[in-house]
Amino acid sequence: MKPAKLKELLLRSLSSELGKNDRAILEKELLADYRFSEGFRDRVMKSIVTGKAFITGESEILRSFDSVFIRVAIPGAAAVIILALSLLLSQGSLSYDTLLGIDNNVDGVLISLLAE
Amino acid sequence: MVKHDYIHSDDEDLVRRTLNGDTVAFSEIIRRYENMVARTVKSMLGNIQQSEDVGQETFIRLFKSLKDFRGDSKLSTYIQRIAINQSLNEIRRKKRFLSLFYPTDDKRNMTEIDLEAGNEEVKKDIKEYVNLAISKLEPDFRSVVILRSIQGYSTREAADILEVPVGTVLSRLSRAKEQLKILLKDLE
Repeated sequence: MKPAKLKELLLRSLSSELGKNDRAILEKELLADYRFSEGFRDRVMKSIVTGKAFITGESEILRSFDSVFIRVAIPGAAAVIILALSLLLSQGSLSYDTLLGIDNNVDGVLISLLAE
Repeated sequence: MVKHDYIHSDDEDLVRRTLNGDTVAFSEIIRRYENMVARTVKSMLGNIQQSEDVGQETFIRLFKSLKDFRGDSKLSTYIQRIAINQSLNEIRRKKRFLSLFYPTDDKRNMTEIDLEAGNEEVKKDIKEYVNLAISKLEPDFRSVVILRSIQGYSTREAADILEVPVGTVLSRLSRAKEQLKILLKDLE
């Protein structure tokens, strides 16, 4: 079939109901023979019979956690990297104290507080 | 005991048997409608692995919601509705995921979609080319085009499947037509 004719038929099918012949032509030209892979029915039945299909409440919660995790984890990781780099540039090192924001002489202050 | 003839049972009988715990009856429902669901889901999502998962999810949802099926519409319509909704959910999920990495402008001009670049081979296969153009439509428009033009449902049936008023289907068809005119402008 000529591309222009097919295009005309497709566009016409969107604004009016096609006659039987045109309908058959359009379906023949456009309907792809899509199928699921071998054993599709057995896989569905297996998940129904074994009850896997009924744990969807849990799997839906996990899926929503996944989506939230991606949203939070990527900006979170980026923030940690930027913070670490800025600390490295300003303090010259990345000790635990620097990362936790504890001043160098905090130890002394704590000891004197505990001694009192 | 005489074995039940599932192949010649009507949908209503299979639904009733499934609800009474007969899994063979449900297996027959899958056999009957598996190709219809494959065509819908793969037309919506493309011939990719996720389509298989969405197909499975469609039948699992059907199994779980069968007790709510009152028989107001045909079983095939009910299954198509689940398949389309599952496909739209998958598209939204994928879009949300991709938007984290590639921010897109939803109101982009359809002419920006380059159907030409690198598609000379595809263009030789007219079926593939037109299906590619349909896959570029917005999901709501894509679903009406697939139901109406490719699967041959009437406007009324498409409205029933999508659970929207007939007017909405007509408006989506009209807008889909405008987009397809642009996408297929070089198809002469």
